[in-house]
Amino acid sequence: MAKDIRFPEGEPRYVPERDCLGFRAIADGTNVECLVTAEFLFSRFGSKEFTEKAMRQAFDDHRDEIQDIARSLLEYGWIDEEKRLFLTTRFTRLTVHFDQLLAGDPRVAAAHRMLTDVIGPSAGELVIEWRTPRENPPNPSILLSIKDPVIRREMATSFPPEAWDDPTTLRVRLAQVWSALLRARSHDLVLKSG
Amino acid sequence: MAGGKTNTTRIEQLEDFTKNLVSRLDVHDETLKWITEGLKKGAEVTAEHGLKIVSFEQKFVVLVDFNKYVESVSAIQRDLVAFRKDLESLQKWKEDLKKEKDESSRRRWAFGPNAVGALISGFISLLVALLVVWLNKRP
Repeated sequence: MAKDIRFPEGEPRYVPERDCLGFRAIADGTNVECLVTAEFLFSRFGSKEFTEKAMRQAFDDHRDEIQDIARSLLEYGWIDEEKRLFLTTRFTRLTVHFDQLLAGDPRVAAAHRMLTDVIGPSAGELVIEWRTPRENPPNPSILLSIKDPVIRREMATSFPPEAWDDPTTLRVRLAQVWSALLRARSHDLVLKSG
Repeated sequence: MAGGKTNTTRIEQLEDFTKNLVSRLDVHDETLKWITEGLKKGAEVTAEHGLKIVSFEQKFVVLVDFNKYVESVSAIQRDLVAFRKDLESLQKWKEDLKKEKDESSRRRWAFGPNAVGALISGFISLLVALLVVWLNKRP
């Protein structure tokens, strides 16, 4: 998780081969190039057309908002091997909720980190909840649910105490939950496409 | 347009499909990577267990040898017990023999005074008889 994120002053550079505008960020001392796509500027920030001039205009008008989005993605460490961050129409917007009992739990924090690594920067809008079951007698398992508010689907799983012993198994289980939601998205797209 | 959709709509849907499929492939790639790492760790652990099993087998061989030694020692202990019993029997026999020897010696010594007494008695009887004969022969 990057903590110290800064955006040095300067004009963005146009990247014609990707149809993007690039601007610099420094995340915990690491130089990162943030690339915001023309599509994103067009659909979200009012760019009138797919020209460099229109893209620059939209960027200048919404610089703070774009940098806030970049900051939220950089905080999760979603940069690729070449130290680049792509801002696209499907940028990840997470709403995360931890039960009061789990808020300071280091195992849950580590698992959440693993989950965000799996989800990546292009997952769209998601609601993630970490809960403890309200059962009597008390159930020591921890529940995870991932919701997609757009398609209105939710995938959930529970982690019994022994599930936390092996990080590899835990990662695979987290990936399975996320994969199940992506599968649901695929089915939704198939239905929409007719 | 077939299906009432424009090419733009179709392209956008294809883009969504592609992005979604790429995301799914990414997840599977990552999962495969972790599973491979897990398998690698598992193989290392198995190799370590294999080495431990070999070590245990060697220790078992030593234990089996040790067990044989224990059995040998037990046999020697049993022999020692038997030997001790033999020794005790021998000791007892020796004591019995000594007792018999003492008894026979005692008996031998007990016979001596009787014989001497008998001889003295016989000698005195003889003297008395000779005295009687001599007294009778005196005029």
